[in-house]
Amino acid sequence: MTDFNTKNPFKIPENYFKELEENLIENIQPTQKVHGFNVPKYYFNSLEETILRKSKKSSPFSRRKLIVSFTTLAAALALLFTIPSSQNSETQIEEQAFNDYLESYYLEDMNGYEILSMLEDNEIDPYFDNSTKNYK
Amino acid sequence: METQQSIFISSLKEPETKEKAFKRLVQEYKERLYWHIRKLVLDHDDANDVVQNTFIKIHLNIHKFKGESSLYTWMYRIATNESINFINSKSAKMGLQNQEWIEAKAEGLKADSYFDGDEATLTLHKLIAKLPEKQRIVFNMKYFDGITYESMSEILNTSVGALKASYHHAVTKIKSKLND
Repeated sequence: MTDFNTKNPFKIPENYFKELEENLIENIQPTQKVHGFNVPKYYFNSLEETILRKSKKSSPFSRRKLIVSFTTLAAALALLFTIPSSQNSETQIEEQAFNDYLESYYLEDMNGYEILSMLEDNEIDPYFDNSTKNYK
Repeated sequence: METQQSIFISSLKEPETKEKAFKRLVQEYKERLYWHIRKLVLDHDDANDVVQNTFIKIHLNIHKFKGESSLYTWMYRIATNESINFINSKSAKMGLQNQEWIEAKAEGLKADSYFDGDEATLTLHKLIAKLPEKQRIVFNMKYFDGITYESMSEILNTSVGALKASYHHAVTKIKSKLND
C-alpha cells in the first residue's frame, strides 16, 4: 500500500515542464510589443468627429478655390510691388487688407503644416521613392 | 463578382454614399493609422495633426485609388508619406536634419505626459531614433506592429529582400548599442 502512494506510474516527455513554461510565456505575450505611448482620454472619439468635420470642409472644390485664391493673391501682390513708390502708403493699406482677408476667411483654422501640405499637393508615391531610396 | 472591398471602394467614390462610407473608414482605421504615425513622429500633438491630414488626403484622393493594392496598404502608404512630409517640414523650419529632429523628440519622451514607457522602452525609442529613416520605419512596422514583409513591400514600394536587409541592419545596430 505504501508503494501505491509514493510511486507515480505516469511519465512525461523529457524537458516537458521547461518547454511548457516557454510555450505558455510565448502564447500569453501580446502580439504587439509595448511601445509606451498613450493618448488623452476619449481622444479617438473626438478624432473621428474632427476628421469628419474637416473632410466636409476640404472638398476638392474648396481646395481648388483656395489654390485659385492663393494664385490671385500672389498676382495681386506682384502688381502692388510694381506700382510707383509715391503710392507706397496706399499699397501698404491694400496689402494689409489682403492679408486680413486671407487670415479671416481662409487661414484661421489652419496651422502651418496644413497650409504647407496644401501647397505641396503632389502625388505621394514619387515623393516616397525619392525620400527613402538612399536607405537600406 | 465584386469583392466586399471593391463594393466598399465604390461606395467611397460615389457622391451619394461617400460620406457614410468615409465615416466607416475613419471608424475602422483611425486607431491603426494613428499608432503607425505616432511611432514615426513620437509626439501626440504631431501625430494628431498628421493623422487628420492623412484622412483628409484619403478623402480627397479616393477617386484616384485604382485598387491595385489593398485599401489598407494604400492608406498606410499615405500615412507614412504624410509622416515623412511632416518631419521634413518641421525639421527644415528649425534648421535641423530630419534625424536630429527625431532624436530631439525621442530625448523629450521622458518628460512627455503621453508617454508612460519604462526606462528600457525609453532607451529603445532613443536607439530607434538614431536609425536612418527607412530602417526606422521598417523596424517600427515589423517590431511593434508585426506587419508582414509582403504588406510592407506594397506600402513602402520596396522589395521584400531590401526590407529584410533593412530590418536586419536595424536590429543589429540596436543590439550593438544596447550591449555598449
